[in-house]
Amino acid sequence: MKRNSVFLCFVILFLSLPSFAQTQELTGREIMEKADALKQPDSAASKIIMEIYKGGGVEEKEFMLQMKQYDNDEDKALITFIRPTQIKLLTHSHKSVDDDQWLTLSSGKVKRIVSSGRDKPFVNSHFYFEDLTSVDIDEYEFKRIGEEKAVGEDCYKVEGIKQTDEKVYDKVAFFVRKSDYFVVRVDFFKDGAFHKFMENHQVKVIDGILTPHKIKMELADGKGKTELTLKGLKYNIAIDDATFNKDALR
Amino acid sequence: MDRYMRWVLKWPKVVLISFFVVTVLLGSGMLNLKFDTSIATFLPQQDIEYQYYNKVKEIYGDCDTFVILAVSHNNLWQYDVLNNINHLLMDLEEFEHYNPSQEQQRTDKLAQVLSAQAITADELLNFFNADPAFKRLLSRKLETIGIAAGPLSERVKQKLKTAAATAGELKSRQTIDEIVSPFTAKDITGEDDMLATIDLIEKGGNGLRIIPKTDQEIQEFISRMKRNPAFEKGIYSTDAKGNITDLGLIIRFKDMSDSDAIAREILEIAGSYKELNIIPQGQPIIYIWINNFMQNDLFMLVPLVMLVTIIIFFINFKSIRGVALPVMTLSMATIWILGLMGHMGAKITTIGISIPVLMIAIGSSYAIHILNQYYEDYDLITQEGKARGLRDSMSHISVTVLLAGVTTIFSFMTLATHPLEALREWGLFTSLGIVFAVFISATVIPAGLELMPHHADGARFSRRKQSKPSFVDRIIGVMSYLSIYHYKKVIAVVMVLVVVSVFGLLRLKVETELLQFFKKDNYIRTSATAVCEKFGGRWGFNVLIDSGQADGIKTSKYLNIISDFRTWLGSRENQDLCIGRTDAFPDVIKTMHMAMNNDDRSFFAIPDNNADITDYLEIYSDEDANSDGRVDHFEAYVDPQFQTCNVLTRLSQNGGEPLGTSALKNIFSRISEHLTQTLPPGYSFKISGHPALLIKSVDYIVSGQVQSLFFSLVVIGMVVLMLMKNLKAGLLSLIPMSVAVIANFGFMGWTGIRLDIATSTIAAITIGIGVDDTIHFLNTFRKFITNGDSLDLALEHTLQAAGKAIIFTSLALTFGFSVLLLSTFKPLIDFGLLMMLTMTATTIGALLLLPSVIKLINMGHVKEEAGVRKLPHRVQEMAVSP
Repeated sequence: MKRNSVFLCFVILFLSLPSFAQTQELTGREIMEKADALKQPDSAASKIIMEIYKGGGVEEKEFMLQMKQYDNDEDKALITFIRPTQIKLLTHSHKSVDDDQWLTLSSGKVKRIVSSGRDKPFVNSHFYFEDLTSVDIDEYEFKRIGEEKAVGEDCYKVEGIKQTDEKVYDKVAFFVRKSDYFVVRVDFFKDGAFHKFMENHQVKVIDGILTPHKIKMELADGKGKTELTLKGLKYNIAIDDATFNKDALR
Repeated sequence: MDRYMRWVLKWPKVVLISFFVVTVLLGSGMLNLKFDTSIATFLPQQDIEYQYYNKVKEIYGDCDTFVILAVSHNNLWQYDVLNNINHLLMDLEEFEHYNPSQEQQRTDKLAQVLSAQAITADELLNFFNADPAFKRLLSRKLETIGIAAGPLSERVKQKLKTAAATAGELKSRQTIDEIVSPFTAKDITGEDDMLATIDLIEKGGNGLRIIPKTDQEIQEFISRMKRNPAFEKGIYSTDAKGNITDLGLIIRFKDMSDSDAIAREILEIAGSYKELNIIPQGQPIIYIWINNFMQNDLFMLVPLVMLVTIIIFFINFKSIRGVALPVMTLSMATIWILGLMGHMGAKITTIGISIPVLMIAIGSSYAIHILNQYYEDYDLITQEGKARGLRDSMSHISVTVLLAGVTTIFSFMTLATHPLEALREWGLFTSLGIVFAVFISATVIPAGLELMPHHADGARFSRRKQSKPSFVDRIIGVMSYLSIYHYKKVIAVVMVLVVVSVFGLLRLKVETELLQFFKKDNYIRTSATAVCEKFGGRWGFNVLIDSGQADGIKTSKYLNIISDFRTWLGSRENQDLCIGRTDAFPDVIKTMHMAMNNDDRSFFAIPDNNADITDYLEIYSDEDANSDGRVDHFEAYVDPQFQTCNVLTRLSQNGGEPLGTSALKNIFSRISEHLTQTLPPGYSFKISGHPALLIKSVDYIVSGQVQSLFFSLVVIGMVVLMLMKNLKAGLLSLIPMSVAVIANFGFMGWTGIRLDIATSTIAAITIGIGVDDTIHFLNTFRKFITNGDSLDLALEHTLQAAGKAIIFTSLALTFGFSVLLLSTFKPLIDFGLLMMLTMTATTIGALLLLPSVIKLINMGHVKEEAGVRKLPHRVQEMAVSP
């Protein structure tokens, strides 16, 4: 099963493919396989505005994202913060081992991050690092539990129960758009309770790839949310491999 | 009153049965009584500082109220020991993280398992082998319930279900906010150009902690703890050689306004690990111990007080009815008020424990006065016939008791204006208790007397009056002699006493820190000293330093100011501030800075560059469960705007002595002065927390005491004025009580007994008893004056009639309360001593001072020569007889 980059998920949180007319009812697993098979880019670059709504206020962060897919099913991504800090985060994602990550402070000091923790929030947003990894569908047991509208779209509702202890969420419910198998909403359940949900908005086709331009992650209790807005997204552009070299961080 | 008495005496059996039924009905409420040892009701809730304290709690959590468990063992660094500590922690964590579905499953399974006909404790526990935390909870509860060998009885099963359900309910409250410990602490390390967030004890894939087993793993664990300077005295303590001797589990709470249940649960959990040496400490624990002490002593000693009182009653009256009727009256009054409190859901606070004592004091006073009247009128009742004679006698005394009761009730009701909720409630319930005492004594005693034969005991008592004067008669004789012939000297002596008392009053110290009441070798004190030495303090307060702008704390300048302040607090020259440890936000930044510089300890400092601070906060990612903008771990230290930093300051002791409120006042004053001088323009500070409120409550105790005393005296004066339609009587009624109250405070000042929450009720009790005695005296005096007695004769008759009851009551209660001197708990000893003093002072006030003042102002308007002609032979005879 394909494993997607941590940071690719900012751009295409769940992959898309053109829809097929179905004559027989699909199982939950089949629906998710179709969603998983959606087209994805070889490389991407975008500016991302992150708005974190917490405690009645909003904190805005801005960063550049560059990512590139490699043949060995691995990918590399570089996040360069523009504000409020100038840190850089370089990630080399591997197929079967933990990611390598390096951090550069505004002062230029570089550190290799050994453990970030999948259940930890990314830069104090409502996204866990786990949310930034795509779903490896073998890690869940899927069950189609019905059809429901989500984000104004007719969807299949597929429930995924985790099959490994390493997953942060016990259960995940995917709302897969009937028309094209694009995932428009995901409900996350943690410690036996509905924890938060993510919605993909302003979905456009860029170079044949279904891409949400606004992604919202909101807590189930409504106490906070984080919205990501993509600006100037480009797919399949030429990015020098040196960009992802850790020595280039210094 | 006459009509009511006719009715009571016509249906005595119906009356008594009805009262017994009401007693049973109300008494059932006593089963619902709960003790509330939390301090919230003793804090000035309307005060602006209290409101600020609550605001601070909302922002930073209840971080100044915490519990420390100092855990040690002779072989601390053994897997089994560490594993036991881990179990202890897991048991505590059950009350931090609530899982409703898991609790429901447990409840269902327990119900199912207990439905088996015959099941032993071991068999029951074996059903929960897969759920060790719940198994341990059941084991604890079974031990608390107490079980016999063999199958569990239905009673035990029911109790166990209830205990498990109560624990489940407590878990659902999620009172525990955070448990800081070596097993839960995280750190950031940065050796060899890497940056890693580490748990001091790693977790496995199942989320469970992996306890170090081998020597190497244990040494690594020790090294991890010691690596970060912020951990010392935080999660571990060392001996002089630097070896770790104790591990600290610091339990912080979300809101401790109702701390009793969770603190008791923590104590139960800690107590179940008998193989570990655990010292529990912290303000919630202290309050539980104090209340346990108080309750144990009261449950043991109050019956003893009653027994001694009964014996004195018997010695005085030499009759069964002389004992049975007062005891029945005061027992009923106590059951009614405590039962009503239980039915109303009111909780008994630390001060509420004195209610049974008060009921004994005032309830027996009413009963004795009524019974005394019966004996006084014995011959009259015999002559007139029981039906009519008893009615006349009881109607007269019931009016007096009613008048006394009404004024006492008004006097206690004045506490309704007290700023402290506990005292307001105490005033309300004691007033109600007095209503009950008046009602019961004016009904049950006449009804009881109606049913009892009018001979034997009564006759014996009556005959005694004709024989040799008793001890009480002699006291009355002396009182009569002094107040009639030496009233000016009496008044002069009292004036001197008042002056001496006023000087004592000026020495009076107000104290609300209860730890000071225990002897040094008491476990409460020794454990407090041990924890203060090991972990820098057992309680604390918050110093909030406001940068004046949002994100203002994310600067090197601000964080250095906080660091400098903390250094100043802990410096050698400021040892008298008794600050054992501080925790604050800069430690997070210092830890990050050290990690970013290859764990070099010299970098455990605030970075010079503001950008580094911003970067550290961006990469320090952790859970923010309530999404308020702060990582949960920061909540105790910073506000959501990152504008104000909370320096958590742990208070130690002063040379092994607990800090009293005056010492606390001095500490806060010094800190305020320092911050005022050193903080740059635009910055501001506030001190908040439990110790600050204790200081405030001292002010309220003093002002509330003065205010309620003033209102009491005014109300009593007005009530007496209206009842007796005599201005002089109104003013006179105040004199004995005022003198008794001043003497009480003077005695406290000279003997070093501090005015605190408990002793502050003594003044109210003094007035309550004093007003009864005064009204009995004045009402009886009025009766004799109206009957045509001269002033002196009226005084003599009054002293003989009312004085006897007053002295009986006083003697009985003085000896009764002397039992409290046997207590090991100093507040109870003080309480007993002051009650004895109060009894004596109010008796002297009513029987010596009051008649002396009446004589001085010639209140009866009777010419002296008329009085002289009628009286001297008996008074002089009594006074000089051996």
